[in-house]
Amino acid sequence: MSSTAANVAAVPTLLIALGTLFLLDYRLGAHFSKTWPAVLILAGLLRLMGWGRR
Amino acid sequence: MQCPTCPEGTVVAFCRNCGKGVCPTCRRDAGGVVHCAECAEQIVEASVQTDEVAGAAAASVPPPPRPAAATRPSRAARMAAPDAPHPLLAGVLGVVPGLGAVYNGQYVKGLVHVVMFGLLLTIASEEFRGLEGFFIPVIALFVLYMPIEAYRTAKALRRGEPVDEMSGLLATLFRPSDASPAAGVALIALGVFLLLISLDVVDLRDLLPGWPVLVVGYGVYRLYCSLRPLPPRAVESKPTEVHGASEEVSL
Repeated sequence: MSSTAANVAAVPTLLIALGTLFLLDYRLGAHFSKTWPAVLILAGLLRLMGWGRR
Repeated sequence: MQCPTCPEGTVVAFCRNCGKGVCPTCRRDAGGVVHCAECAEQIVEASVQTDEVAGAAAASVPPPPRPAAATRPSRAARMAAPDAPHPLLAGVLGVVPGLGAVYNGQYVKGLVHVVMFGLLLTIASEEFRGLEGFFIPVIALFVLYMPIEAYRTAKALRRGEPVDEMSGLLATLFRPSDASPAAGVALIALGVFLLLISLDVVDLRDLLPGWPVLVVGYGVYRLYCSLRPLPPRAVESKPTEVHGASEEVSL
């Protein structure tokens, strides 16, 4: 993935992840207070794929 | 979204005046506000007319002597300064998550502040799982950071300095960088570590005695960075980096 594509896709991807985690909280009882570090992992992956690079 | 002006451009922001989407090529920043090329041109023309009227009125009066070192602020700066937000009020409003940033005209940053504050409270609202020492200072620092950041941004706007939508610590954290994978790897490692703790896979009390490993690891990383040969571009600009923006040189 190019850095431009990663920059464009980063925020929507993080929003989707946040929404999914809250959905899991409401529907399956996987509390957000337990699953939130997944957002950090996703942000790190996006960073490795070029998010925030020139 | 495709830019309405450039066929190959992608919309990255919207004009504050007309609401049209702008790509990086069409984007014009003036005093921290994004405009499209057309609106920016109109604003500059209006400013020139204002300057001419003011110049004609002041023609009969000799100008006061100016210090030699004084620099004339840009047109955008002179436009932005009169209606710039008041720093003290911005600082007071900054106590409420997002409100100080919104007062400064940084709507995205205000939204990010609200979301971050909400996430921190959501995480901390249940049991801390031994991470009290991490979350309580982070929340306290964030509550202190928001008004200070709003105050500093308002002061910069009042001085007429360019301020983008995500200025401050957030922009520092997510500023464009070169290809170093350190930030990504650190985020993943922190996320995996906190995920293992929150899912009760590992107990923080079992891991605490191993904290010196982090110091050793960071020392090894710094050693690697100092011994790594610099790329040609960095070598050329090294004196400027040392005396100017030293953030990348010294942590």
